[in-house]
Amino acid sequence: MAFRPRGIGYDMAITVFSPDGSLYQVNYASEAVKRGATALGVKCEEGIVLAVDKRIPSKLVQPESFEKIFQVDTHIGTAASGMIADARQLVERARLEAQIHRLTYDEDISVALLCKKIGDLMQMHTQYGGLRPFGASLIIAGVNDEPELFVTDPSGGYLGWKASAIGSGRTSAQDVFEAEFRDDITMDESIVLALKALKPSVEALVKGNIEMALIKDRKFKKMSDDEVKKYIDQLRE
Amino acid sequence: MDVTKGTTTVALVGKDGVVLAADKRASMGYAVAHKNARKIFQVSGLAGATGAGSVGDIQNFVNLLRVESNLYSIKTNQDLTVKSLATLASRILFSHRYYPYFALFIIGGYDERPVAFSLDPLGGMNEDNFIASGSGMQVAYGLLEDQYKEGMTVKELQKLAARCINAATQRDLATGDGISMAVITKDGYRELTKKEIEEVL
Repeated sequence: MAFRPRGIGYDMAITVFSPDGSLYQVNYASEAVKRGATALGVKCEEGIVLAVDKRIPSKLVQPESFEKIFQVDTHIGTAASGMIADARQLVERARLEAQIHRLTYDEDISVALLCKKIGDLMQMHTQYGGLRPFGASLIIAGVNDEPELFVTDPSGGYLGWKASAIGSGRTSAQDVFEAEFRDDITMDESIVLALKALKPSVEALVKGNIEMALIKDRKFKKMSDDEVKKYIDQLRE
Repeated sequence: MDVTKGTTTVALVGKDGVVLAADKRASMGYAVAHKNARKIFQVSGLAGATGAGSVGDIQNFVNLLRVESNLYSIKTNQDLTVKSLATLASRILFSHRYYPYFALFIIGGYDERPVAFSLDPLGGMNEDNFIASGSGMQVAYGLLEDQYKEGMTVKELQKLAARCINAATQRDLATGDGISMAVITKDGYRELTKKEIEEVL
């Protein structure tokens, strides 16, 4: 790659570092996440709240025909942003790993271990030839002994959070969290806070446009549109 | 396939812990191959195992369990429960369905309470309050069916376990050469010294 401007050509193969030490393909994958619809999660003492902007492209689309929040196991759920097709592959793997763990050890997989396994898979896709990184991030959350919430990124790295957001509305949501999140927040308050954090980045905070799930009493459960609406109304007041 | 060859091992679950006991004879047909064989093993902090059958298979299997247990602890920052360890052991045994480990195992230890699991060579797993395995198991069970009661203390169980091995020593050809014993309570795994075992008797 001689006689070329600095940094040009280093994005052809994912396994090649640029002179400044970055893998451009991985950065581009992160860029795909930054352009994705906002997804966020809040951890409270009673459990976890997950919420995503469905970003329905047309009023002709059936909103219930696609999802961005997925159940992984009885006690773990995940919210995705970025390329949802990529995210679905990760979710499939996460579901498989959860069942393998149950079969091998006769116990629920811990959220941290599951996150590590997904992180390993995502990392593998930044180092091996013939692969491309996943253009998606996941918020992986669940309850074992206590609630846990992690966010993965396309490099395979992950961090644990009290409340976090991914996708295009990340900054505005994170601002809301930083201003209003408390350690003793209740689940009801967390649901309203999640909607408030989502609000700046969604076109309209209306029924059908927001997908939400709760993990309460160690059980994952999607919220119905009517339940979500109840909290949207609460936020308006 | 007669994997009950040689050895008597017992595991007894009590109020405050589990007692594992075994004889020390390793037999090879009608010969005594070894007179101080180890048949009780520590697997992790609060879990132990006994083995009866092929010595090579037992030693390698226990080493495999130790490795899996250590890896689990390092990866997850918490210890494998005894129930999970037994489930894992069962899975490994079953995965060798067509090329099995020639051994019978008992895994005992302390989760939130004392527990013991018997494992057969094809992965069959059963939790029980008292378990005997090996060629002297019938002799030991004869005593246990009569003498074992729920809620016994570790002290009482040590005596009962020793009597089981003793009875098998008298009436089973492939059992003998002394007793070894381990106790697992919430405080950990401990093997009894020769002197302690003499005192139990």
